[in-house]
Amino acid sequence: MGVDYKQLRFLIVDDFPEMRSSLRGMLETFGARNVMDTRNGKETIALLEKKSFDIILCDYNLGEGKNGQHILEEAKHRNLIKYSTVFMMITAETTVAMVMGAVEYEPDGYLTKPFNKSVLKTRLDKLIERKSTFEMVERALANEDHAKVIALCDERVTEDGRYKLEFLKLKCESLIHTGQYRKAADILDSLLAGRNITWANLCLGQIHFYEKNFIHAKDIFQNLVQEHKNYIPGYDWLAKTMIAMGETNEAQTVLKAAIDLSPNAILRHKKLAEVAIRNNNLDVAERSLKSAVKMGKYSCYKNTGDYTTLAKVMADKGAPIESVKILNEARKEFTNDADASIDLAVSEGIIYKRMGRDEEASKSLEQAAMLQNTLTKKVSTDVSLNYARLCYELGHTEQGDKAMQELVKAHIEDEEIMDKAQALFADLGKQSEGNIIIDDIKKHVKDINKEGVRLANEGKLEEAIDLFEKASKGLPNNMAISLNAAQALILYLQKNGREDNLLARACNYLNRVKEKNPANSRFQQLFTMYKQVAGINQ
Amino acid sequence: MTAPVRLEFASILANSIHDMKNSLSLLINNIEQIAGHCGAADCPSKQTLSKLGFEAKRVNNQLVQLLSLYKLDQNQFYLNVVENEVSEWLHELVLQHAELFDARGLTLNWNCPKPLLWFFDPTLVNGVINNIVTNAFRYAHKKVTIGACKKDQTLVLSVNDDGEGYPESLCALADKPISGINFQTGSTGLGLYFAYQVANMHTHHGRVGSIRVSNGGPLGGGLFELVLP
Repeated sequence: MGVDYKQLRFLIVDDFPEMRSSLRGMLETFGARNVMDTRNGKETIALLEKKSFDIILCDYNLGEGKNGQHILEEAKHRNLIKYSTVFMMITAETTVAMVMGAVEYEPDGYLTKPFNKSVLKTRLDKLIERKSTFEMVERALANEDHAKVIALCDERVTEDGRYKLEFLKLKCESLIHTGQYRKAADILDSLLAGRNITWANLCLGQIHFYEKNFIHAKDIFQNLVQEHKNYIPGYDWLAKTMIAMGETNEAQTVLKAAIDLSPNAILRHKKLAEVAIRNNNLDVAERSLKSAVKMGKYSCYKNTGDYTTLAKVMADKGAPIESVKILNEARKEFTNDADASIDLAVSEGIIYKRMGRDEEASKSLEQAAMLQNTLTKKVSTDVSLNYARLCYELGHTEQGDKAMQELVKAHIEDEEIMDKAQALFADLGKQSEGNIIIDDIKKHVKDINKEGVRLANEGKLEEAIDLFEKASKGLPNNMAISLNAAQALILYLQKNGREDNLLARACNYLNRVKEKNPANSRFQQLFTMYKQVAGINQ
Repeated sequence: MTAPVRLEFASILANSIHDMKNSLSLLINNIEQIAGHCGAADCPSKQTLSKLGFEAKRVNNQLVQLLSLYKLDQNQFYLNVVENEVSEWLHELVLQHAELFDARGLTLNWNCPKPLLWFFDPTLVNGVINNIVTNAFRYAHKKVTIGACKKDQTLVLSVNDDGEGYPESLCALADKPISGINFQTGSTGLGLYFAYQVANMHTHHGRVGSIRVSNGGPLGGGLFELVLP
């Protein structure tokens, strides 16, 4: 297999000049001509914003600032590197920071120092070959086209080759994503009969979790972490299952164990803080949030929410001065960020209210409301919830109701957010008022869907389209309505032939769903139908 | 003022190892480069350079071993068993040593059916075999062969050389290196202890990995075998 190094664009990331020139020298003996290098995270991200590379060789340890994993995360998170780019992490030692599967984004490979040029060459050749083997599947995955992923994997799995297991893994993950649990479980069961493969156990546990068979899921995850003490996804899923079962104290212990193994994952610290707050364990929450804030400095997961939650925890712990200090620190970190400013204003209001300084709290609310009017996009749900809370706490019931109605309308299908909304109402002693708001909207959506489906079944497709499209204006985020609108349009097109204007509208509704949940099985079905009526082969 | 930062020993170790590995990388690569430059096979520097490279590798092996054993001792070490394509894995291991063997005038062969898929922790097993190969580099006369094959539902990795062979005391100790470990036997003894630990950590369906140390094999010298279920 001949790889033409002349054509490839390389980037070397290392803080140590000798290492950079040594690597560059090796690459040049392979024929590479296009080699750039950077010294740290900042330089690397700035370069990736402007230029694309085929192969990135990145040292994990880069001294002060971002490490190699931070770079990979941010680059992938912000789509600065494509699925076709090979990202190789160079490490001194494989186990310190990179406990198995502990991170959101994994590099294509790890290369342990010391290595010589022949090892580097074979490894690169192998990774390049691997990339091309998986290119089609990875592209389908990047487009969240799971039906295609499954079809492509089926083609490859039959040949009893080198990557059989990996294709099976991708296939199972796509099956699970699209809710085809039994099919995935069959594959997993037969695999597990032969070897005790960690990822296969994880997938099987996930299936039980999604089928709400929590006891079984918990059992699998518990065994998994017992046998593979460094398999972090096992801990994450065990905690998730325990939370679903209401065992939040146990979940806290599990998350703590995962963090001890892999202390650098910011998202896990946030999760631990969330659970600890639910358990009213403010000391643990404080510690994890402080870690999240500290780690966030160099991470793409940097977020005002960590500061505001920490500030609230400090207020609850009876340390209002520190609380205000944290918010001020956040202001410095997030200048020119309107979304963050609202979050901070609202949190400040809540904390002032808790301190009994109502006047200042009102001022914060005014500021938040003013900022909200200038904002074009929607603020995050946590910010909206806090905003509503502050309105209620300061006695602006109408303003609070309005905010909650909007939130509920936008997220009526999201159980997690609805739980949070209900928890807020309960906390404020407004349970029944809250239920009225939620039930009204639920009923409204249900009525529309029922009526629309009736119309469609009676063959009155034009009326159904009209109904769903009108409803969708008021509920643009609602997946059921978007899906029904798309379906009515597609059925109409199937019956009456292609019409560009209607096709574009169907596409628009499908895109709304895709944005929220590309793995939605109805979306995947409708998308296939859409491609047929639109005459798209791919 | 913030309180003085208390560094954890594990992170001190990790940082020092990072630094040392950087230096070793440069050292080994530069040595290989210079050895490549002195073209003639009878160039006297070649032998010396090969010895230097060998010593650098020994330092590296010791580092890997030390860190692994430290973690084992601290209960921080967990096995990372994944599916490996053995011939690819072995090829890479051989390439890592090829130039130095060449410079010393030794032949390093390897044989492995392809594809051969097996489950094990590649980092740990790499550490074990690297150790044995570096050792063979010192004692072989002309040839070293690394082999991999499937036998009775196990994977057998072997390192065979044409040297004088292992001393009797080491062959006897392979079954139970824990009680037999003696620092007078030097790095070989410690290396076998490490190999024994790694073999022991690999289990499958109730069967446990093992090591065998003997003399003979096709090359007639030392024969080390790591058996993984």
